[in-house]
Amino acid sequence: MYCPKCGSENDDNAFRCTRCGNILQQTQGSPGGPPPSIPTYLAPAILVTLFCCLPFGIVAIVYAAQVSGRMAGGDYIGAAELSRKAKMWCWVSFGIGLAFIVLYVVFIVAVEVLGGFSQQM
Amino acid sequence: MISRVIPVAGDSGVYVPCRQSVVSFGSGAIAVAALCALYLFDPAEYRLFPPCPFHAITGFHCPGCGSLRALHALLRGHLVEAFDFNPLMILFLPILAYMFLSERRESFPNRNARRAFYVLWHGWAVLALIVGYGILRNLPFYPFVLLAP
Repeated sequence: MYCPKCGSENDDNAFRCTRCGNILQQTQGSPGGPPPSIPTYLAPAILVTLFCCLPFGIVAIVYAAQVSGRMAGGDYIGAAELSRKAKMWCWVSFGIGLAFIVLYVVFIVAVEVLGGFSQQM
Repeated sequence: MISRVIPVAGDSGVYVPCRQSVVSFGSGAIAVAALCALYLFDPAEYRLFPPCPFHAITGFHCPGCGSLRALHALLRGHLVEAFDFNPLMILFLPILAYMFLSERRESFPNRNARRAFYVLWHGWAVLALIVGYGILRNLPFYPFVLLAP
């Protein structure tokens, strides 16, 4: 987990931060439960930006970039919300890229088939 | 260990492992099939692969333009040629591999390396790099023409 005060990474079960001494256990959302670890979705966001080549990938990166800062600030609910948005925009970008590829392949096949017909006639 | 369950109220952030494994298996299979097709056919010669919609509409190169041709060259072992088509994508491949691995296992490779890599602004650095690269590779003069596919 990350210390909400100084942002340095600590052991999940650590009581105090090894760097600044801030008490970590009381700041958690659920005492005794698993500590919050929120995925940033930065890696999939980069992937969809470089391979689906759509501006929606950039939107996903903008959301993903904010997650770790919010987590370090102790705002786990805000971080979870940004993480959710980053994930959503990754899928939007991926979905639109996939739809474009499918439409393109259908179009190419249609052109080939129709072209074949017209050559036969 | 990384917990995939986020303890917040409401519906957000709870992941069922079963669905996730199905999704990752399916996407893995599709990725392998796409890589095989990419190895066999050159995107520059065959119309099997779609063009970049951003390039088709605007005429500008996006940060991802040339990725397919670069991957084809890389799969054939032509590293220099791959670098010529999309240098940033080739540079990002090992970084992305590291990021996916380290998200799966928190102990990979070790705590110090993770702390050095996951600085608070690493997401903003990536954003600036990709957007800046996207702008620079459209400049029509040396040395930026080297960045264009």
